[in-house]
This record gives sequence, structure tokens and C-alpha cells, in this order.
Amino acid sequence: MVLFSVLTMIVAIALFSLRISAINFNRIAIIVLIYSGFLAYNTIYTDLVGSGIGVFSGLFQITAITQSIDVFICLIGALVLLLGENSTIGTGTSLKDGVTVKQSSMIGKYLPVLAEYPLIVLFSVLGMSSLISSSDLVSMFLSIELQSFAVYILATIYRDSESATAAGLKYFLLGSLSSAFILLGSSLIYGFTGLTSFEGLYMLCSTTTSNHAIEISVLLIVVGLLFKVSAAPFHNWAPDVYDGVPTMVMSWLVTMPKISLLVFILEFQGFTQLSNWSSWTYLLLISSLLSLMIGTIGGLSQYRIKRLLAYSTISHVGFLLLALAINSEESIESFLFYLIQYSLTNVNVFFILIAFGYLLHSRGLAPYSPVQFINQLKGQFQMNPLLGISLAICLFSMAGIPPLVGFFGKQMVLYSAVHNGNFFLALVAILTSVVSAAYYLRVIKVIHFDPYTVTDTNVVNKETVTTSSSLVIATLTLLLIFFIFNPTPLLNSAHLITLSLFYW
Amino acid sequence: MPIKDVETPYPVIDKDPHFFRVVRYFRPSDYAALAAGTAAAPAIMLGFEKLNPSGPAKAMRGPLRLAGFLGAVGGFLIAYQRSSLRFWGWEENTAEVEKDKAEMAQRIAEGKPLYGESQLSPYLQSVAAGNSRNAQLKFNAIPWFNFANHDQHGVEAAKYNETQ
Repeated sequence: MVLFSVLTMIVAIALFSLRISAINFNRIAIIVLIYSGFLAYNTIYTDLVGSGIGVFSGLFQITAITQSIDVFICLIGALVLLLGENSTIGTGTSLKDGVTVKQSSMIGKYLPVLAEYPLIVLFSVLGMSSLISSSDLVSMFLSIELQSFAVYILATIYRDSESATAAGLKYFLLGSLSSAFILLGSSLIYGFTGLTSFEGLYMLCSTTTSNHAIEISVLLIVVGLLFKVSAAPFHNWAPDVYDGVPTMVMSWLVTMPKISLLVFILEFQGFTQLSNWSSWTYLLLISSLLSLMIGTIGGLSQYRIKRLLAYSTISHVGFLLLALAINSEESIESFLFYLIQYSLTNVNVFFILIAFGYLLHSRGLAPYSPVQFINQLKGQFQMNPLLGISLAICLFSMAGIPPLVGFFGKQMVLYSAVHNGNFFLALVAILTSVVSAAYYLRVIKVIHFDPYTVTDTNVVNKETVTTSSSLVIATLTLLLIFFIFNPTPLLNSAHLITLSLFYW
Repeated sequence: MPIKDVETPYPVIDKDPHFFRVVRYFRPSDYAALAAGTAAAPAIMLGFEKLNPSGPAKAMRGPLRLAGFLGAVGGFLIAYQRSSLRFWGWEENTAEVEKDKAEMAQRIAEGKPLYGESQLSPYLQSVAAGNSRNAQLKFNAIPWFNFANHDQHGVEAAKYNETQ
């Protein structure tokens, strides 16, 4: 579905971009993702798929995890694309003295959606969907590149922005370096074994004694993957890139590629268990420890909101890697749960930030839009209490404060860490979680308790947040709060998917 | 690549059915899914426009057509997937089993090959089968159909002789 839609949209953009506006291409991409998610959902047969079914001559595989995560990717992708609806602000019509007039005062003042944006997003989704299903070194590398090229282009898609172009170039260069690591690891594996299919490699590793050459090759691949998920110590590009690109693009870059890459690492690491490679576990544990510490300490000194969120992401990747490294039924369940809840919370934060930016703009505070500095949110609670509270709930959830969903994510990861005997890392995770709460609380303090100092505002438009944004923010925020009343569907789903990984 | 033997709850009709066979075996509910898919996409577009108006109503003609086209493709893929799941025996398929028996019996009576004639070598037939087998499970990303008359359908041809 996604591939066909990509081809159709390439033709449609070339032929009909004058007749079909960019926002409508964006909406069509959302619909495509909904259909695609339904097609994936339609084939979740945990008992029949079992340990996996090969497709396309074994280049890809289908498991309960791939299908479930495909549905999740499509859902989150559609949500992130909904951010584009903000560009409709002021372009609608309204009735004035019985005559329909166009609300043109705000047209062109906001970041518009480009027709190519949803197209590149679909390319990215195609890469993600392929990556989580890949079961061959060739399909793995091609999927990673398809996904990565799409996000490099996304980073630079607003070419008028100098910071976005610089960020995109940095992303491209460092992303290429990580791809080179993956390619080197893949070619070494092929050189040592003559195999490219994971199936063949699994069989080889399960029958031979420890082979350091293959082990080193696999570690090179995982270093490349850790680079791409911005795990410490390979994280340096992330704050610069995320800060440089527009917020709408950042929401995609921060949320989406991580889901597919981390799920791929999850599926790939079954391989390492066959040979009991301790180096794999240590690499993930060290990266987790560093991500937790750097993400927390680095975030403390940030005054730019997007850099703060970038460091927050690094810290959360630390939690996810900790769960991955433990690799028990409990930890994988916690990994999936954490990934789902963190992605949803993150998307909500971006919706709220962008909504703040639009509202500040509509009050004549154009320099404050988009929101760049934490201080620009001073006293916004007085102006937009609901948005302020929603952001506070998201940040509390990220900080792991009960009874919000983020608390349960952290609790599950920590429980599995302690259960597995990783007391030191569990302690570090708790401490970093407490420290990181400081920078989340700082944002909450600025919004809720700092005085609203700007007095010379000129309300240029009474536009509020778009209906779709309000709907998404309200739904996700309520989900974070009320998860505690009915946690069974999400927890059971994560549990079943995990069991399918371990017991088939 | 070894072919995984899946224990299905219903009898297997064909593990890699030809495109036209899958379409011929569509049930009315599959056509309903196709129609619903075709209608839903423009409806969602109109819903978006209602929520956040983006321009004059006449500017919606092009987007609605494109959404309708992609919706029809999505609806077709859903219908095709549902029909394929019945061929594989993953879903209830009593009607299809009977239809298959009748079709194959007729082919045997007419002296035609069960799965059509092919000019491909056995190797290329296995390549074609390997590419299209179970591809319906990945329809969400890559639509891939079986257009080759290969000989790898995962069922014993002898069973059709027994039914004669």
C-alpha cells in the first residue's frame, strides 16, 4: 500500500500540484497510513505466524512483532502528519455580515506544509516497515538507507532555513558514517561466512563454537545502529540536528526512526543469544549507562526547548537500551511498553509546542513563534491553561511521576533490571530519572509560575489551535492520565507479543 | 529457502494462489470491503476539510479523486488479503473449498493442468513462487501478487483425483 501510494503521489505531485494543495497531499498520506495500518492489523495471527514466516524469497520475515509494530508505526506516522493540519490556520473561510470571506490575515505567516513532505514521509515509513521485517543483510541495509535518506531529505526540506540546511548536512554526513559502520559489519560477516540471510547466520552460530570474527562484525553493525538511535556515546549529532530543523520535522526525526531501529535491534539480538556473546550485552549496557547519564546531565544546562527534548530523548533511549540488554521476557515486555508510551508522549509534546507557537504568533508575538527558548513560554499558563496543563502532564509522565503512564514504563524497566541482578544500572537509572525531573520541572515552572511579562502584544487573529490538534492533544493527554484505570489492553498486547518472541 | 509448514485451523486450498483465482473467489463481503475502502478515503478527506477548512469547496475535486483512487487500491488490497487468508486456510473457507473442488474436477475432466500452463522453467517457477508466497502478509508496505502459473501451491494434486 505504502509503495503504491508513493508511486502514485510522485506522479500526482508532478502532474496535479497546481490543482491539489500540499495540505491535501498531507491528508492523503494520513489516509494511506490508516489503510496501511489496517492491512497490517488484518494479518496479526500470533498463533499461525509463530516464530515467523519468510516473504519475498526470505529477504523479509513476518512475525507477531513486525505486524504489531507496523500498525504502531502507521498510527504514530499518521498522528505526526496531523501536525501539518496547522498550516490550514487562517486559510479557511468565515461568514462576515452574511458574506463568505477568506481569513487571509494569517496566510503565509506559518510554516507551510510542502507537497513533498508527505511523500518523503511515506518513503520513510516504507523503509521502517521494511527494516523491522528484514531478515537478510542486503534487505537490512537497503531498508536502513531508504529510511535514512528519507529523513535526511526531511531535515533539509525547508531549504530557506539556514539552520535546517546545516542540520540536514550534519545529519547526512554523520548518518553516512554510521551507515558505513553497518556496511562494514555486513561485508565482514559475508566475508567470514559467505552468508547474508539471518536464518543461515543463526544456524551457523547455533552449531559452531564462539567465533570472534562474526562477533566483531555484529558489534560493528550494532554500533552503526546505536549511532542512528542517538545513543551515547554516539549521540553528539542529535542535539544539533534536532535543534536546527523545524519543530514539525523534528517531531518525525525524534520519534519515528527510533521505533524501527530499536525494534530491529530487538529482533536481531536473538542471534547473539545463540552464541552467548557477552560483548553484545555489555555494549548495550555501557551505551545505556552513558545515555542515561549524558541525557540527564546534558539536559540540565539547556535553555533551548528543542535541545532539552533532544537530551531527554537520549536519556529515554538509555532506558530502552537497558531493557533490550537484559533481554528477558519481563524486560522485552517493558521495552515494548516503554517504546509505545514514550512515542505517544513525545508526539503529544510536539503537538503542544507547535500549538503554543501558533498561539503566540496569533497574539502578535511572531519572534516567539516557533518556540525556541524555554523562557518564551513564560506565564503561558495564564494565556492557555489547558495547553499548559497538558504539557505539564506530558513532562510529568516523561519524568516518571505516578500515576501517569511514564511511571509504569520506568517501573517495568527498573523491575526487570533489578530482577536480572543489574542493581548498579537500576540505581543509576533511578538517580538519573530523579535528576532529569529537574529540567522537566523547570519547564513546568516557567510555564505555570513565571510572570507573563510581554505587555505590548497586538492580537492579529483570534485563531485558536486547529480542531485536529486539539483532538490529538486531548486524547493523548487523557490517555496518559487514565491509563491506570484500564491498563490491561496495552499491557496484555505487549505481553503476548513478547511471549511470541520467546516461546515460538 | 525451506517452506514453513503452518498448521492451519481450516483446510488449505492453495498456498500461493494466482491473482485471478484470488479475485474470482472474492465473497460479497470482500466486495463490500472494497466498496467501503473506496468510499472511506474521500469521506475522511471531507471530514478533514470540515474540521480544518483549507480552501474553497471546488478545490476539493482533485484531492477527492486522488483519495478515492488510493482508497479503492486500499480496499482492493484488503479484499485480496481476506480472500488469500481463506485460500491459506487461516480463515473459515467452506464455500471456497467446495468451489475449488468443483473447479479442479472440471479441469481434470477437461484434461487441463490444474494450475494453468506455464512456459517458465521449473527453476524460474520456484523463484516466482518464492517471491509471491505469503506476500499478502506484507501488503501494508509492498503489494505483490502472483501472476505466474507455477507448480508450487502446497497441496497434493492427488486429492482432486480422489474426489472424482
